[in-house]
Amino acid sequence: MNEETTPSAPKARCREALAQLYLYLDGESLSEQRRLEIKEHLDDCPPCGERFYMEELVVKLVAHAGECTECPDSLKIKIKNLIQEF
Amino acid sequence: VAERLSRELTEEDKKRFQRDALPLIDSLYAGALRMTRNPPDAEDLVQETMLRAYRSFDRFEPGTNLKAWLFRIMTNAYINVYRKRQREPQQLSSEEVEDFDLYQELKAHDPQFSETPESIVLDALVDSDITDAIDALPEQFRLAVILSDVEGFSYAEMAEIMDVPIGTVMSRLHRGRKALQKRLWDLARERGIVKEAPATGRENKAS
Repeated sequence: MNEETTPSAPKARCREALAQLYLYLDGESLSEQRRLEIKEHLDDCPPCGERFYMEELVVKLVAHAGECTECPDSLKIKIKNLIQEF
Repeated sequence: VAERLSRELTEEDKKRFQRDALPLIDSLYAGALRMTRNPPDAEDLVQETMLRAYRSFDRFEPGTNLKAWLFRIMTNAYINVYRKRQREPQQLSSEEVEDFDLYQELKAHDPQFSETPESIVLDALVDSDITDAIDALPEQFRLAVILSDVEGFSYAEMAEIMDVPIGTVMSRLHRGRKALQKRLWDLARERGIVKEAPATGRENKAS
């Protein structure tokens, strides 16, 4: 067996995946091929998989906190009326 | 507020505005509330945005992204008017933010985190913790996080809305998310969800 990779010296694949973490999670411009490679790496490498999962979790928490905000009906009615006046 | 229309909209424009723009008020309000951080200013900002948008609706190109167009108007209105009234959160030192690693912190403090894809720390945070953490971000980071994670805009749309290059969007979003994670971690510590230091020596399982 080779020496274990220490956490302070992540493998090149981990580094490359982490550099594209947000592009991957945000569905931004990555080729299908690259997206697949990252996905395979996340399945093979638990620390990277956990890290991506955690980042996704925080983004979801933020999205959820925003979804729970509803505009007061009084403002909707006010805006509707102002627009009809014009 | 009661400014006059410089030009009459066609009946068709008016109908289109009511049909397409009015249903986006909830999204605008959610964004406005996190920008201004208080409901009265958020209501003013949304109202101002909708009136500005209505007045210039003849300049909106049908078939393009109406939500992004409205957010561009709202972001400009916020930057030009509302933020002048408000006190900005204390700036974070970028070193402090860059060096912070929520993943490592969770691994050290959250026994469940490495075993199952769950986090007792993150699960213990409530929506008001999350919104407090967003509200504590410096403005440019806050805008990036709101537009991306609350409103779901793409990097290209955000670049258009904030009028900056995509590279700037990406770096603000990256630093904003990092700073948010640091704030969430600080909140978890303040609330006693995590203890000050990780347990040393043998692993203690909660019985």
